[in-house]
Amino acid sequence: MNQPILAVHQLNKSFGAKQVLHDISFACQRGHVIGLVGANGAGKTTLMKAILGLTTATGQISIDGQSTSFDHHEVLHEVGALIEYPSIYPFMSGRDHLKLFAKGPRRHQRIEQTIAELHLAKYIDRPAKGYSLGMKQKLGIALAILNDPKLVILDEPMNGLDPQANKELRELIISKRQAGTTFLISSHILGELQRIADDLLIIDHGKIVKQTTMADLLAASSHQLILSTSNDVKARKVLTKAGYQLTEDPKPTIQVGAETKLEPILDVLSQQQVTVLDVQHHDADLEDSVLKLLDHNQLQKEG
Amino acid sequence: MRTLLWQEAFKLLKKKSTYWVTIFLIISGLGQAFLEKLYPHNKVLTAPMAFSSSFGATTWLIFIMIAACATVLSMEFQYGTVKEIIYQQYSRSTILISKWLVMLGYSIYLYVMTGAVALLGKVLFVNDQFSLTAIDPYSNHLTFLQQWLASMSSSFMTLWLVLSVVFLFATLFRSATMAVTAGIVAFFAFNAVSVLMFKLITKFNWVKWNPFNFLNFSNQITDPARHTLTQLSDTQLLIGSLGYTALFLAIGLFSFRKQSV
Repeated sequence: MNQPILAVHQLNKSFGAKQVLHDISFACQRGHVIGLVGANGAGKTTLMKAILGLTTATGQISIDGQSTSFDHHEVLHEVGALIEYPSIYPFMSGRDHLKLFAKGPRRHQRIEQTIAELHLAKYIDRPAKGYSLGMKQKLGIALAILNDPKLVILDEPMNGLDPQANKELRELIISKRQAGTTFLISSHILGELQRIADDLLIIDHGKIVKQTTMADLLAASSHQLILSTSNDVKARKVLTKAGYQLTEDPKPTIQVGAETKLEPILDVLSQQQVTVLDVQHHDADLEDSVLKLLDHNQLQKEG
Repeated sequence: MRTLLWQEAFKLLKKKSTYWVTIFLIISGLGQAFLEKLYPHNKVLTAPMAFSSSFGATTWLIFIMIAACATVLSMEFQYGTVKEIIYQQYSRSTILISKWLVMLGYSIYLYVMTGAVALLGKVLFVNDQFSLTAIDPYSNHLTFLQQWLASMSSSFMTLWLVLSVVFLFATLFRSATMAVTAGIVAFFAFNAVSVLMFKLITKFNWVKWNPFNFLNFSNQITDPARHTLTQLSDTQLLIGSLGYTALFLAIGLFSFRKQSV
């Protein structure tokens, strides 16, 4: 079963004269969490809407090996989603929403299981019109996972969630992923995404500018050694002379590779009577890496 | 389709207004029948006349069904729930048709319910004023019962002609306000412009085929003299009403199938 759960090939979408998706192609492997990252207006939601048959687009989309489109999307019974904001009927309770959209056998058990997994029991029987943003968001996520879909598409699922709910959602996604569910998640909260995503799609101005694994992206990003010494000014001079690449930081901060050894650095400084008091490692996180990538892409365009 | 029908029925039954409408129509129907008992000699609205419109229910039903059909689609756009519905496995056509069918079922329920209330009101309050099997002197020699049934079924056809316009506007503009306005204008403004329309028909015979003329179907059934104004037979009005209803629904369906959300 190596067939990707979702495959998108040369997807294009325009609103009038403005093209918002340009030849988007990617595949999502089963049981992975794929983070979709990009600035506002980059085309993330439009891409998700095209996959879900909500908006027209040209190109090929297949889910679980079956082709799907705006007009014919029977295969979407394998998909759960939360797009833009949770859609709630104000005249119904949360439980009514779950009853409304639950399908197939064992409906009742799945409703109860979903309520337990997302900790909704306290308010699930109250009218949804009185729900806070976070409660609505959790109900929207509950609806997305309710029917045990193979693919779950979540657009900014952490919106409005408190830290506890965020943690619960992260744990839920991880446990569902282990059970084989694939997630395509767009989020601006890159710290959260860094903790759950296996793969990344970085989209800018409607184009995929990077498709990689989280591990590869972080490994390729910069690592720094930040030194505290008895004489920082002298230490900077010594290290520069020794050929190390320093940042502009007044503290001696060395740009190093992932596998750099500390001993030669300490040696060169001690030979010049500079004592090293402390060494801190700083690895670039997803936010740094993505911003750098998007900056680089912008510069290339302008160049 | 079964799932969609179930979902639409579930939503309808979860709305409190669905129950209030039933309670209101029962009270209104029985109330008007009771008023006929209190004022048996009034000439403005005699008991048989009031009974022929199920004690006023057929007019209320138009308002109620216009509101119900306008909101059944536009609420999905207003609440954003249209996305939840579309990214199920069903096609847009099936989604819209299931809404039509549930509204059709709802309108049939309301007609049957108000009909039952009218019969109850007749038996309870005005049973001594006329007999259902007596001939209505103002109709085509029909009994009051036949007259009542003909009036109900023809007003049902006219109602659905109006509702097809409501569905069309709800689809095109995604707004309940626009759809309700279209329905109200289609039905009530028609009465205001009908004099002008009948004059035009006498001058240009082909004007009789315009959709507004077909709103006369139920009027013509209860008042056969209207034939001279509409220039169409009852059968032509029936077929035309069905045709225009199908046409407006089809345009709405075509538009909905193309809509991105």
